[in-house]
Amino acid sequence: METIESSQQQVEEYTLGRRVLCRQAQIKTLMSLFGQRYHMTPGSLFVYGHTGTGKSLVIQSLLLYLKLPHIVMNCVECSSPRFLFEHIFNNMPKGNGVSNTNSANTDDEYTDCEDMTSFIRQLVKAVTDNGLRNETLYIVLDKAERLRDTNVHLLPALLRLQELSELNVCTILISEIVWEKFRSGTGLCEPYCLHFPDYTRQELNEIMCLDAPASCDKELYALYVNIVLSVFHMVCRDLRELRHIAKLNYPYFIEPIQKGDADASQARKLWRNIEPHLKKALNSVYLREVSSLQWELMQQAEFDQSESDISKSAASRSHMELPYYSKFLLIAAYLASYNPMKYDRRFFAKNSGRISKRTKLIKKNVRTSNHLLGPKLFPIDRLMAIFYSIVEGNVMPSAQIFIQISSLVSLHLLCQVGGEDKIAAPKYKCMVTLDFIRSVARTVQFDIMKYLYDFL
Amino acid sequence: MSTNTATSVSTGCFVSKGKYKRANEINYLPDEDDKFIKHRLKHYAKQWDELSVQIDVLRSDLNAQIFDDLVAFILSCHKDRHDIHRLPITEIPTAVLVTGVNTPDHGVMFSNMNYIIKAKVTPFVARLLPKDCLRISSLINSIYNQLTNTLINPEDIDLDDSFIDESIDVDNTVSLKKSVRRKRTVSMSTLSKWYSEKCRTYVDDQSPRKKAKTFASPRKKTLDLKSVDETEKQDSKPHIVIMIEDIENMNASVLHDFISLCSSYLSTLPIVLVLGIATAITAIHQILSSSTSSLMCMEKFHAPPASQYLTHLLDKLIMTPSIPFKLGPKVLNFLLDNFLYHDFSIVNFIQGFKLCMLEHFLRNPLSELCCPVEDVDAIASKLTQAEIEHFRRHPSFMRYVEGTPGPVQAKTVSDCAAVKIRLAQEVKNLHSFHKVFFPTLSFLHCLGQNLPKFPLGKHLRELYSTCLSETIQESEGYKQAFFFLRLMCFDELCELLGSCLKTIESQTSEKTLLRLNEDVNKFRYRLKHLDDEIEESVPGEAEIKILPQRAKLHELKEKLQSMSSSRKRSPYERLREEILSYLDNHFKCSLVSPMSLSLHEVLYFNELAAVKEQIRPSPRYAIQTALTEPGKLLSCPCCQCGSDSILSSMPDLCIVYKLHLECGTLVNLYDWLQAFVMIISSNNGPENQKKSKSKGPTVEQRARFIRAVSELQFLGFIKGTQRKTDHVTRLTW
Repeated sequence: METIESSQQQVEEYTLGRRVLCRQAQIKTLMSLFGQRYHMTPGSLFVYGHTGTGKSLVIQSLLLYLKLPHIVMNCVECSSPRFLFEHIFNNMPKGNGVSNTNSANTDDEYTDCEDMTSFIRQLVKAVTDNGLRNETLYIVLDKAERLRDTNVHLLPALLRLQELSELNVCTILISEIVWEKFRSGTGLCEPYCLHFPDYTRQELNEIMCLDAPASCDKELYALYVNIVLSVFHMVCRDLRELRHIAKLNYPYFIEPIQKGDADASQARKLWRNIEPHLKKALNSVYLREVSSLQWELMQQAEFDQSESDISKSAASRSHMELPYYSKFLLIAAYLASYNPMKYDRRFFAKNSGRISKRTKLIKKNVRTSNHLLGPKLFPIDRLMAIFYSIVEGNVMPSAQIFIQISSLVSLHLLCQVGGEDKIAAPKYKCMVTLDFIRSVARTVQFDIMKYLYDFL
Repeated sequence: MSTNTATSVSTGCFVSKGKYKRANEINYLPDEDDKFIKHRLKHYAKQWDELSVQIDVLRSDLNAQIFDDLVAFILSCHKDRHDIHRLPITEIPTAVLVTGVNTPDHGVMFSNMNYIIKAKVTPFVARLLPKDCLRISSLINSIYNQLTNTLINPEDIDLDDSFIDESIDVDNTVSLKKSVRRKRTVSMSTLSKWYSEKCRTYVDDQSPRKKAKTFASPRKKTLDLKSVDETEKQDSKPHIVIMIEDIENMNASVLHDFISLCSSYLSTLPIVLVLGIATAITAIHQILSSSTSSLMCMEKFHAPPASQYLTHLLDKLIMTPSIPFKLGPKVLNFLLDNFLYHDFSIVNFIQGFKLCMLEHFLRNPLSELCCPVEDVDAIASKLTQAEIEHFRRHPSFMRYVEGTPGPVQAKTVSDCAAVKIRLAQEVKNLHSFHKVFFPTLSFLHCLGQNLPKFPLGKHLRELYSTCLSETIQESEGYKQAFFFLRLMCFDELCELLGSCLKTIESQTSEKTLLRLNEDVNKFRYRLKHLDDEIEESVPGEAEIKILPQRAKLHELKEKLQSMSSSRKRSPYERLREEILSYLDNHFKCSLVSPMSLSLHEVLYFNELAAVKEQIRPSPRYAIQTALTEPGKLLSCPCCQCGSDSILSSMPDLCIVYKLHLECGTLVNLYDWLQAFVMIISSNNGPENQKKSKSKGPTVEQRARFIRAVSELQFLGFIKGTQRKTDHVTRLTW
């Protein structure tokens, strides 16, 4: 009886009050590493694992659960070491013995810190001031891989912080990449590495069941999650994405039950009902372009139409309106990017002459598709020459035309490539796809396929 | 310059604070002997003010829908964040605003949005431009500065109303504070600390302060209109809205960092992002990796397309009788082309319109009378003798005088009072013509809207521009449209007439339109009671003769054709013919081209040449003409020549330019120099020439040449090349 109770208590402890699931092994390791409040902890910990495996969640909830003094820092912000140092000082937790009275006027308490030496000196002072001498202070650095890009000496020093400051300090690095990728300079002190493995399907199921809305039966929701996982587990294991999908499609699942068409026990019927929705959602995994409301509207519209319009909706996603001459400029840029220069005369000059049979034959054998090779550079002169030969009517070379080129560049439809001479003879590359340019050409009644060397 | 400065021990540059010169519009007026220009400037200013107010109203109307949606979206975010039972889904609510490619217009839109969100949702709004966001630290700094200022500003404004002196002090302290801030590193944690502190105070004094505000300043009422329920606001903390204007031009890595930071601070800061995208939603995935985009929960909003905006603008501001100033066909088409072919930018269109208006009032003395119809009499009666003299010298007035019949002509030349009356009358005629013209135009447009191939144009503006440039009855499209209308079946015609009537229903003040309305209604009645139409007795039946026995083939053909054309028509067909000929007649009366009316120059601006260079500049063309024909630009008598010949008196740059036009891709510098020396020494007489030939070019000549060549390089016509020594490449053709 007692053993059961104690194991119950242990489970309670290792799930941090049932808030963190499926990470009991890791929590157990961490707890044993941390020990009691006044114990010395290893100087540095390195926690790694894929995104969405609960690294930050476990560390942060554990520190909060055990009420340990800690500072959390997201290293994305840390563009210079100064940010890191000052963040640590300005978020220094208060020890038990120190009263919390003067926390309000933070303006006066702001600490400046420029370099590592003064950081360590000030750290000792701050820790003593805040009454943390007898406890372990945890400094959590999330997204630690960013630290590699800053000062070379920062990371080794942070790993040896305990040694350098002679304080009971533990640096916890959280990263998505393995420790081996951090070894660049010298003087790195090997941290204790802790791996967070990916969740298995059962674990995913268990975690996702936490999302069950209050109105829904737990078992029914488990069934739903199981269905979702059976469709999506093949393509996507990101917990965040899966939860997003589950949330989006839940209304469809629950609909027949609420209407009274089906019973909670009729799993097969429910499955048949939800399957087409999930198949649709499979097309837009990771896109995140719509919120749940708009998703519903879109689904409705698609069900109203025939099923064959999927390609059309994909095209409308990338549809944009351009001024008339911009369209021609873009087409000219595309032609310049994908046609070999020596064939320009053939496409655009009036009397191009016929190609002899021999060259035709040779070409057939040798030519590799330019579309496989990707866009090529072209100078602005060539672009303008092609533009003037394809556009109808007489266009004055006004400043407006050139403005359009630069606005196409700013829209990422063209891309300016640095030559030696960016002002006198700029060079560009066309960045759009064949499908896109075809739809653009169609709007101006220009048969682009006739002008593309690859499709002759 | 004085001796004092010369004796100074150290030489240096001293700043002397000059007087700030405010530009005065009077100084920019052309100083002709046109003394009445100030009058017209006043007219212009008044009319433009009215117009710009209308444009603003139009713009806010057009965007009202999307702004409402956005505000609703922002309010609905972060509702379930206090639900502790579940794991928080850490997604940043994001509104993706697809704005269209017309980037110059976005600034106005975003500043309006900023204003509206501040008024209706939350005071914490930051607006980021790509130039602020070169690094993540500068981005956060900019957000911090904008957010912290939001709470200082309202107090500033309040102080402004009462104590002006103190507000200056406040300004000083604000700037001081800012400078102190700048030294510190601002990070997201600083921001979150600031926010939690502000939140406490903000929620506390939210309601009393707000009420006080509405009482204190009634002009701010618009801000508080439709604001959220106060209770709701007190429950939740105010959101932080961060608008990023132009995603495409942001540095991708900075944006990536910023979004991941936002998501990690989402538990303390209720951030809502508004991302402006110029192209299409797929751009997000080109810029951001999937790991980043999965941190956001996006909702898409589409701004109304620019072409729709243009249609509104034209309907409300240009094709309307209420605004006296009108664009002529050439200028209107030019502006429309500029919009549709070049930039899609409404801002540029409005600027162009403004420029035309300015030109009109500046150049045309008759524009004195270009005013709303109520003021015509007053202004006409105030005209002085001198002004009328000035009018008389203007070509358009002369043309008008010549067009008038003999006795009247004599009077207009001599009698001032008669001129005043006649002028007022003519302008009023123009105005009343417009009142009929535009509704009739939309009537015709409605008639031709659903015809195959749109012979009258898809948009009203196309019809309008054909109407301006020619008589509509003679245009190809009009004839074609009536051809199609003559084939229309019964149901369609009934429906069409009904929908056409709707376009003129609201216009009840004009007699012509009332009559049209009545007549069309009568026709509709007759269409509905078609059976009651009296059968037309057809006399033709008896006339049909039996064909002669041996007819030639073409005679037979003629006969058959005439028989088929004279076959008996059904009552519907006859009625349709009647309706259409009635409408045709009506259009003939009221859809006269305004350019054929007398004295239309008072209201219409049609001088394209005056504005073309400003609206669509072509710098290269300008430079090339200046270089080939320097005589015109410098207006010096010695350089007058055609574009091919080269004179020694021309500037060196022009000579060098003209010489290089004769070369191929590569220009040999030495040959070029020789040719240059030849030309500049050609007028020195034969002896000199001989001398110089034997010696080669002098130092001065070489220096002049090199200077001219480097100027040419600066202008971008040539550049150095590595391919051949002593050669340069031409860059233009």
